[in-house]
Amino acid sequence: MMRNLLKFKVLPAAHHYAKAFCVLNIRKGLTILCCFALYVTTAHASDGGFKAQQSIAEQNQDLNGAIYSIMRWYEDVLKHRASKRYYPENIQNIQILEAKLLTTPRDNIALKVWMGYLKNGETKIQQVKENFVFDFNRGHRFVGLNKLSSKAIYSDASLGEYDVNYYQQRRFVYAWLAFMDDNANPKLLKKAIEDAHYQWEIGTQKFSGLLLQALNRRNTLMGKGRHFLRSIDSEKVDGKLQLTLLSSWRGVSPKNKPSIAKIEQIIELKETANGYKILRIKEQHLLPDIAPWEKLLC
Amino acid sequence: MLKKILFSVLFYTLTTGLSLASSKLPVLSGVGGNFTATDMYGKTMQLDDYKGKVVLLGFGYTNCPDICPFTLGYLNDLYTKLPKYRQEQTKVLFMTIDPKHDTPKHLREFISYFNKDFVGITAQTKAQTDHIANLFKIKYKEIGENVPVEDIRIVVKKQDKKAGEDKVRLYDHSVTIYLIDTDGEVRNVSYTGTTQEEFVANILSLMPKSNIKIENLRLKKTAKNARATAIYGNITNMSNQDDVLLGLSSSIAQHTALHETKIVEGFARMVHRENQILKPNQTLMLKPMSYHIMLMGLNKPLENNDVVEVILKFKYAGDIPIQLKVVR
Repeated sequence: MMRNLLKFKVLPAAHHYAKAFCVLNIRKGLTILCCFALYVTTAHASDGGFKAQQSIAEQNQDLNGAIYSIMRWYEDVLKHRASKRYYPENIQNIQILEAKLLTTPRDNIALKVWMGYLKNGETKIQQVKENFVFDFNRGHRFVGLNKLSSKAIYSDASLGEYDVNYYQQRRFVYAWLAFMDDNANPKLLKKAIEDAHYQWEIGTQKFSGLLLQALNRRNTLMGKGRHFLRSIDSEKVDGKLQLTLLSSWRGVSPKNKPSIAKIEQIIELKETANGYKILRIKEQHLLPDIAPWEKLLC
Repeated sequence: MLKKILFSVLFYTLTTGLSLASSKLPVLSGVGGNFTATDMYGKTMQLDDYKGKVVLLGFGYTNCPDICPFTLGYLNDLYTKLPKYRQEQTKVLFMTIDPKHDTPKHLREFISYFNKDFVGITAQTKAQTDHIANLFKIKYKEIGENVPVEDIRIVVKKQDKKAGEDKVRLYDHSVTIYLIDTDGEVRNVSYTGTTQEEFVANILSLMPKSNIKIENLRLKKTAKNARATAIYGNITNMSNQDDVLLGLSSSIAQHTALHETKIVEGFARMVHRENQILKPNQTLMLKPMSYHIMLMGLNKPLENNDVVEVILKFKYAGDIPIQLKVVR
């Protein structure tokens, strides 16, 4: 007959031994944490517009398609293919300063942007606040644009990096994220994915093959979820554009467990008249930033 | 004091036998996965061998002068806070990043110093170590070699020392502890800065749910000088599959048994039951002249309001410790 009562083991002396190193470890840890916090603050402060895009993407898990429309609009504005009466003429650069998903009116995304434009050979800045109106019930269709305010700003800020290329790249990236999320809006990417090669490594699993095949395998492995863009780095390598995307992913695994990922994708692109064509994608999953001490070494 | 209260609440949750919520900890996609290594007994092992258990995996080396002993002490501390039946559903693994120095034998001596249930593992080569480190995204690098052994604090001296091993290597390495669920998927990374209350709660959240509901279970006060009593109350199987009540254990009685009282030819007879199947949503009502659990050969008579600890044993729900009050 069973007779043993639940027993708790007595702690061995090892615990006391270990405690002796506690103070040293905590002091070292705090120093590293402070440096890390400073790094994070600095990195994010350098691109307020991007941070704003991120924040709206996280308010609703299905906004990559909507942000794609915003990026496409500003790209068209910079290519002088689209305009509004309250916009200045000769816009050269647009920096997004704030972006907010509104609950009233619904399906609106409010943006505050600085538009750098040329007038009499001088660069001037106009601050524009406007609402992008979407129909979220109909595939996040871009319905229109409402002016909130438009006024001249006196600033010596340089908006140089927020040019056509900036928005063209982001238009492509958000289309790609929306495509990965739903596999439902291939028209956003047009022919950009034809013949593209996709190689991924997720834990012990690896795959290399045509993009659609690789994406299907990846979705089977990861389950259903949404991507949130964290950063984009672009550089020219051997005459080709190479984008390095870091995104976080949240979803549900095939076993119905909540799941997250930190994904690095290196995308090699060929520039075409209509935008980009994907040549190859290389993806690996990193340790998600679920705690600041992950870089702590002993 | 607050810690004690938190642990009391946690322990109470376990002892009531109510369902634990399924874990909200996310799977860390692309982190971890199955690997092959050698355990501290010299046997080939795979991480998948531990499927069905919650695994805590840490990386380090036996010559580590600070964080590794600290981490293992921390793990021992929280491991001993788990009830015995939860310890059996948990496995703590410590993988060395210095396979050249840390032989299985030495690992065994080192790990056993902290806890004999823990298992040390080693890869055969640096390349295999790198492969596993890459799977779990841990970083390590050698920061010093030929360091005289007497210059560092060593927990356990190596017995199977080879020539030249009076001087050792030191490493920088990640200090993360991986929490791996019963399917072998990484669900969290922690370190010794994680509060033990949080860590224990995370471990328990990954364990199989206890779907046994226990209501009003109590012990009957014994008559004067009597050495037997009975347990009454309700036990319900809340799961969607059969479970089996296998028995009960208690340190206060020499024998325990599940009995059913039957009336045979006008006489009440106690029939011994080896076990009792509980269908989904079925309640076993333990009451006089029906099913009841007998405790025989009591160490001492039970007084009103005494509290007695017993463990109900189920085929699928496992062992459920519970504190019962003695009533008239």
